[in-house]
Order: sequence, then C-alpha cells, then structure tokens
Amino acid sequence: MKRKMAMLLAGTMLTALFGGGCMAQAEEGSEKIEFPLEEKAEINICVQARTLHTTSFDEMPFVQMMEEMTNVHVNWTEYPETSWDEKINLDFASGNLADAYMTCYGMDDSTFMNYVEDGSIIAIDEIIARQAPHLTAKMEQYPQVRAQATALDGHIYGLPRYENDGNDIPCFMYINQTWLDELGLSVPTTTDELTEVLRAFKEQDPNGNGQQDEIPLAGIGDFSKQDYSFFNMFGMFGVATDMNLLLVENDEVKFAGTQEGWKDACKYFRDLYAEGLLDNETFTQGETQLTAKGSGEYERIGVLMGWNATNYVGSNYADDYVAIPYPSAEGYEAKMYKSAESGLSYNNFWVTSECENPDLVIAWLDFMNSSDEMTIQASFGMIADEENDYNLHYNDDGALEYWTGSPEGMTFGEYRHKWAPATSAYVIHDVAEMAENNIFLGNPNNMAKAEECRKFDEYAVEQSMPNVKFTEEETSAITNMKSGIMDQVLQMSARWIAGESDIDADWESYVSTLNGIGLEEYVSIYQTAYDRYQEVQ
Amino acid sequence: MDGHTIKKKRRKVSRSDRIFDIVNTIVMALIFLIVAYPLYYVVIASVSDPNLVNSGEVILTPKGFNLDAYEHILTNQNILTGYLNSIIYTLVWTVLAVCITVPAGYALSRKDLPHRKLCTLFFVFVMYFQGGLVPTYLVVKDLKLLDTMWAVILPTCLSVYNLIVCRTYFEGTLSDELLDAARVDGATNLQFFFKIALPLSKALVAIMVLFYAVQQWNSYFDAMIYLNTKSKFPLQVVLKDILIQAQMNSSGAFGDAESVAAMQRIAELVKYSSIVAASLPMLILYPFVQKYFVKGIMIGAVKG
Repeated sequence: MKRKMAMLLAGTMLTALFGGGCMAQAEEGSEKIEFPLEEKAEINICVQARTLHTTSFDEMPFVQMMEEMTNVHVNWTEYPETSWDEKINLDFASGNLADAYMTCYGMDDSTFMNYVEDGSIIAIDEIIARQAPHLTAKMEQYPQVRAQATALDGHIYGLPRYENDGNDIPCFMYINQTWLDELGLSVPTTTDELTEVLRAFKEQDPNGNGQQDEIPLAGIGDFSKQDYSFFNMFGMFGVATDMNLLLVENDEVKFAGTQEGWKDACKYFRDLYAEGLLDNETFTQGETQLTAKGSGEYERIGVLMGWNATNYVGSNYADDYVAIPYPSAEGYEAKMYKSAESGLSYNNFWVTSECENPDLVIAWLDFMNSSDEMTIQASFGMIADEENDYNLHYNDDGALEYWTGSPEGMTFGEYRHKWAPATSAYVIHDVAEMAENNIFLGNPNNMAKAEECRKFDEYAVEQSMPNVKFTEEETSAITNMKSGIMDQVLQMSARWIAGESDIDADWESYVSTLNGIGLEEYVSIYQTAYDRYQEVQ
Repeated sequence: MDGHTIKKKRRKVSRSDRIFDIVNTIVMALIFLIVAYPLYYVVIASVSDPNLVNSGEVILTPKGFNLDAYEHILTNQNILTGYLNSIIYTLVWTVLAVCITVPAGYALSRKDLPHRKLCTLFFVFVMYFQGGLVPTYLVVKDLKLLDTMWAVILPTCLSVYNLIVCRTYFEGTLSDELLDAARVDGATNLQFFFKIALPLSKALVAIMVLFYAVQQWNSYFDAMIYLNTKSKFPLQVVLKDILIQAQMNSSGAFGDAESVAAMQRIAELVKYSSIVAASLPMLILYPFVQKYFVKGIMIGAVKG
C-alpha cells in the first residue's frame, strides 16, 4: 500500500513537472504571429450585441472577411446590450469566462480593477508590445489612449475604444432664429441682451397663436448629463463646469460651485426666474417633459441647451434653431465646456485568465486595426464592390463615403450595425482626421455637428478634467463625499434661482457646509489624480 | 288564511346602520377609484399622443386620440415574436409544472408512502434555502441548457409552495375509507389516482394552472439571464429592452443622435400600450378560471 502511494505521488509530481515546463515554454518570447495562419485556430470572444445589431455576428460580412484573411475562427458569444452588466457579472462570479470581451459600453474602473485583482483579467501590455505593432503605433499617435489604458501599476488591462469625430463640445446653446427674425432682434452677445431677447419672446407672442405660452428659456437643471444640463449656461460667467463640478485652468483643478462666477450666475438666473423668463419647472423636469413642451402643437421654446435641437423640439421645428456662442456676462469671458478626450471610452476590451492563447487574441485585434480600411470597415460597415451593395462607397474624390441611402424602415444606426460589429468593435481611429485628409467622410450627422464645434473653438475652455484613474482609497473617499457635495450645490443653487433664499446671506454658510462635507479633500484628490494622469502621457 | 295578506314584519333600518352603510359605500367607492383610476389611465394614455401625456394633459379622457402605439406593436417583429415565445413558454411550462406538481402532491399525501417525512422535509428545506444565482447558473450551463427554451422552463417548474397546497388538498379530499374501498374493488395505485383522485380535484388543477401560468407569463429574470438570442426572448424581456434602451444613451456619443432619438420616440409611444398588450392574455384567462379561484382560495387550508 505504501509503495502504491509512493508511486502515485511520484507520478503526480512528474506530470506536474512536465506540464509546468510546457506552459512556461509557451509564455516566453512567442514570435510575432503572421496572418493568415497555416492552421485554422479558434478563439472565443464575448461581444456586446447592441439593440441596433439585427444580424448575428457569424453572418456579418466583416466577420467573414476577417476569418478569411486571418484563418482564425471566432466563436462569438453575444450578450444583449440591455442585460450586458448582469451577464458579465455572472460570468465573472461563476468563472465561466470567454477568452476576451469586447464591448461598446466600457466597464467602470473600480469594478474593473476588482476583477484584475482577483486574477480574472490579465495584463496585456507585454503581449501588445510583442504582437500588436499597429496598436502600439496608434497609442503613440494618440497619447490619451495610452493614458486611459494604463492602470496605476503601469500595466495595461483594459483597452479603451477611441473613435473621435470631433464632437468635443457637447452642449450648444440653441436660440430660435425664426422668432428673432420675426421680432427683428439680433443674436444676443451679452447677458443683458439675452435678457432683452427673452423678454421679447415672452411678451410679443412670436409663435403667433395669441396665447402667452412661450417659454423663453427652458432647461434640465441637474448634473446628470453634460449634453443638456442647464448648468452649462453658467459658462456665460466663465464657469464652464463639468458634471463633477470641476474646472481645470492652467493644470490647476478648481471647484466650480464656489467660484465668484457661480454666485453671479445664480443671481442672474434668479432675476430671470422672477420675471418668468426661465421655465419654473427647470429643476424638476426631465428630458421627456422638456421634449413634450418643445415639440407640441405650437413652437414654445426660445432658448435651450442640448446636443442638438432635434431631440427636444422634434424634426418639425429643429431647423428654426441655431447654435450661438454663449453671451458674455459683464466682467466675464464666456466659456464653453469642451471635453479633453472626445471619443475616448474606457475598458472596452480585455483578455481573461481563461484564455489559452492571449498572443493570438491580441494579434487578431491588431489585425483588425491594421489599416484605415480595416478600422473603418470594422466600425462603419463594408465597402461596396461589384457583387455587394454595401453601405460604404468611394466617391469621386477617392474618399470613402458613408451610406448612399439606407433601406426603408431602417435608421442610419441600424444599417451601420448590419454589416459589421460597428460600435462594438474595438478600434482606435480618429474620424475627424480621416475626414480632413479625405480618407473617410464619417457619419454625416455627427460630422455636421463637428463642423459647428469648430466654429466655437475660440470660446471653448483649454483644459478640462479627463477620465482619470483613482486608487481604492481615493475611490471610496470620493464616493463618500461626492453625492453630499453635489446635492448641496444643486439644492442651494435651485433655491437661490427660484428666489426662495437670499444668496448673499447664504453664501458663507454654503461654502462652509461644503468644506465640512470635505470639499478641499475632494478637489485635492482630483488634483493628484490629474497630475498623475498627465505624467503618463 | 285566505283573504288575509300576511303582514310581513318590516325590519326597521336603524339610524346607525344607515350611517354605516353610507360611510361604507363612500370608503369602498374611494378605494375602488384609487385602484381603478391608474388602470383606466393606462388605457387612455395608450391611445393618446405621447407628448400630451408627458405634459400632464391627459386626465380623464384621451387627448390626441391615435392608435399609432398599437399599430407599432402589431407590426414590430420583435414584439410579435416575443408574444409567441411567451405563449409557448407559458403553455409548455404550465403543462409540465402541473403534471409534476399534482402527482407529487398526491404521492406526499398518501400515508403509506415510504420515507414520507424525509421527502417532505427535503422539499420544504429547499423552499427556504436556495443555492443562489451563481450555482443555479452553473448547473444550467453544465446541462448545456444555456440559450435554449428549456433553461427558462426546466429549472423552476416545481414550486414547493404549490406542492404543499396540492398535498393538503389531497389529504383533505381523499379519505382512507375511499382508498380502502378502491382496493377492495381491485384498483391499483395508478388506477386510483387517475380514476378517483384526479376527477375529484378539478378545482385544484384549475388553481394550479392559474398560479403557474400567471407566474410564468410575468417572469423575465430567468429569460434575461439564460437567453442570448433575440428571437428567443419572451414578451416581457422585449418590452423591458424597448423601454430601458431609450434611457441608456441619449447623446450622440455611442452611435448617432438619429438612432437614439428614434428609439426614444418609440419607447415613449409604446410605454402604455405595452402594458395593455402584456396584460391582455392574463386578463382574458381570469374570467374562465374565476369560479375556481374564488372557491380555491381556501384550497390549501385545513379542512375541519
């Protein structure tokens, strides 16, 4: 019996020895993988199937093309967009992981780092250096990608998707040009002129229906989205705040809610509100209510903030609205919020510990990014040829043009997502640059807005807070303080604007309450994170 | 006796009784309104213009009457597929569940079942302590049921609560004498079940069908977790997707503004009509099972 046990033990140890030896061999210095492979290989990728995807990934022409060119067959597991979070959490919890995950919506850092720490997600920076010359070159070209990809310990775990179409000023101020023309007014350039215009909108019945139902200025007064927040208007007083209430000037992080400009802005809006020029439901309404007001039977809104006007006034009235530079308040220079990292997402592609051949996965990803044509096709659709009437065509100038017309009943987005992974594909490319260089003209709607952004460049802030990375202690500290700080600012500002409280009397206690919640620490944590982030670039 | 009308004694309705009646009626009417108004609102909102609904104009009557929402529902392929899937899943599940639960309840009610106490204990234990989501998911995955219809049907088709209701019913209805009489006539266990026990439990079967059908029709979580292919989604998941999708991204960043706006318009349009559409089959089913339901509320209770 003892002999048998000894033999069994020896046998096990020998097997472990050989097994371990084999694994070690595969890890070090694998050679650069060249495509197409000699033998067909398989990899398992779990991808986020967006609602816009109407075909399965196996049937997509782009996927089939990739398979031909690389001789790698991808076993796609498609998780729907609306249950993506639940499903991948389940995957991580149960250990049932695919080789790699590719998603349009990135995973937020704190959750992501948890999975890194328990070993489910592996570091891929060395593999990228080995197998992905194109990705490496792109990260050189766009340092913000590398900064976002690099975790605090210096390794890369999650790759951020980068598709910049130049839409870096998310919130425009739209004014009803038709009403201006009717009332013979010119576009306001100062806040006093703006007040005059709003008064005229209210009193002179520009929509001609005999009722005083016009809402001169409407907005959504919260900090939920940069795109449409009413607080963007505080930019008229030089306070172009982001939704964390932070400003960055000359590499210094400041808190927007305690600036002089904030105080003066509140006073200005208080006066507007008192005259009935600011919608009195500003602080209680959401997007659907605003849309209901804007796109009803008669045109009702004079000035609104948003990504575009169509969302809130419908396509009937959208053409009447024009984006204008923010008027300046006296003593201030108007500033519009501009994103430091337009088009950059976070943690969109990662490789798990279940992957047997991470080199192959990264090489495959690199192949998808190996040329402009590849990234354009991965993200926007296939280039048409004699046999197939796909959605990308070369125009007379030799540039790729998107979509000469989508079939009836399909929106632009659905048509794009029919041929290729599109927004779920992991790509790094700058569409604005490609449009300038006449390589690809991009999505016509987005490019139109991007052109408008360029008109406002001179009013845009030079710096803003990027999506910085935090340590665990920093994350928990911020989580504790953030909602208290945001609530205090939102409530007090709403009360001052609605005239329920006197701003001059309250200001001191307001600031000291914020300090009590931990405002100074909040700003200094962000400052540390910002400085750290800048160094990586 | 003839010629005399029997004078009926008129019961005097006392003042306090009358006051009680009036107050009672008012309270009941109020409660009825509180319950009925939201249902009524859903129906009128589903045929009104979404913009007017959102601005609070729709109160007692539909405004901007249009059937766009229903038209969309009837032509949207996903919703129709979801409807079909829901019907199939509910039918199969209910039949399977009833076929499992009723015989099991019968078996547990028989006093001559070997290890009866142990079996009952086992079932009851599982009712209180479950493995949790992750172990269940792993079991379903290992049985290769992921992304198939059976993942939604098999794991949950026995509800121990219903099992105990069945058992109590059989214990109350089937007396030992009945069993002895059948034995004397030479009936086997199977014959006893099919020829005597089952015909006596029509009410029970109806109640079980109702409970299980409603449970499955409304469920979406299992489908959401186990199913990936859109063509297999039941109605509830399809509707959830439509309504949630619109909230997920309202800027042009993740796609393009046009698609996002289109999705939001549809979500607003369909919000109320989807409630009506999803509830309709159950509302139709109830009247047929109504009589059993009223009788059956006490069905699991101890018989005197």
